[in-house]
Amino acid sequence: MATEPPSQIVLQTRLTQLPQLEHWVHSLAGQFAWPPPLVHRIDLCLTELVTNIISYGYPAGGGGAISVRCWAQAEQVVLRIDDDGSAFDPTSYALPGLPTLLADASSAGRGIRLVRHFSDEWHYRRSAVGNELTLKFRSHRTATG
Amino acid sequence: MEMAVHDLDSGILGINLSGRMDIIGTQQIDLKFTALTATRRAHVLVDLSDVTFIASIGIRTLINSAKAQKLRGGSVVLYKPNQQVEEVLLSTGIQAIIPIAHDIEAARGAFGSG
Repeated sequence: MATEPPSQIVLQTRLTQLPQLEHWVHSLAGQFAWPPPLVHRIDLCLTELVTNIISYGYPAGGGGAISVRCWAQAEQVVLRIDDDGSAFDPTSYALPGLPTLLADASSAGRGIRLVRHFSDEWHYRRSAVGNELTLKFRSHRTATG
Repeated sequence: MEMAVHDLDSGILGINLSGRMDIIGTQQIDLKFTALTATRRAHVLVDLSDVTFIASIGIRTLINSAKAQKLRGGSVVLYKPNQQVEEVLLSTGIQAIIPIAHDIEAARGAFGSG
C-alpha cells in the first residue's frame, strides 16, 4: 500500500449517511481525475458494502462507526472499509446461480455479486476490533468480466 | 428519486423513474411503484433512461414488481437504461428474466416474453 496518507471518511451506521459517502467518492474523483467508469465502479461497490454493514452489521442495535480510506495510486485505487459490527466475510460468501426463471429469482447475494463483478480484487480480515475489507480497482479496465 | 406515470398506447402503462436508485432513492418510490405495478394486471414499461445509478436494492424492487405482474398475467419491460445502469443489470443476469428494450417496438414485442 502507498505511504501517502489516505483520504478518509468516517460514517455513523445510519442510511442517511450514504449521500455523504457518495459525495466523498465524487470529490475524490475530481481530485484525482478518475474516469467516469472507475467512479461508477467505486461508488457502486462502496454503496453496496456500506449499505450491508448498516443494514445487517449491528443486529443488536446501538450502531457503530464505519471508516473508509482511499489510497489513489497511478494504476489502481485501493479502498479499505473498517467497521466494528458483526463478523462477516463477503469474499467467502457462496453466491447462488444466476436466475433463469423469474419465479426463482432471489435477492440473496445480489449486492455481493455486484462487488465481485465491479472490483478487481478484495481481501477480508477479521481483526480484534472488527471487519477489515480491502478493495482494489484498476484505473483502466479493458473489459468487465 | 422521482416517478412519473403515463398511459401509453396499446394499453401499456409507462412509468418513468429518475434519480439514484440506491436504498434511499428506492425507498422514496417503492410503495407507490409497487402499488402501481403489482396490484393490477398490466403491461408495464419501466423507463430507466433517467436513472443515474442502480444498486441491488433497486434491482430487487424491479424484480418484485415483475414477479407480481407475472402472477397476474401481465408483464414488465425495462426500457432504455443508460450504459452504466445496464451493465449493472446485466451483471446480475436480470435480462434472462425481465426483458430490456432500447426502442419502443422492441419493448412492445417483449411484453409477454418475460
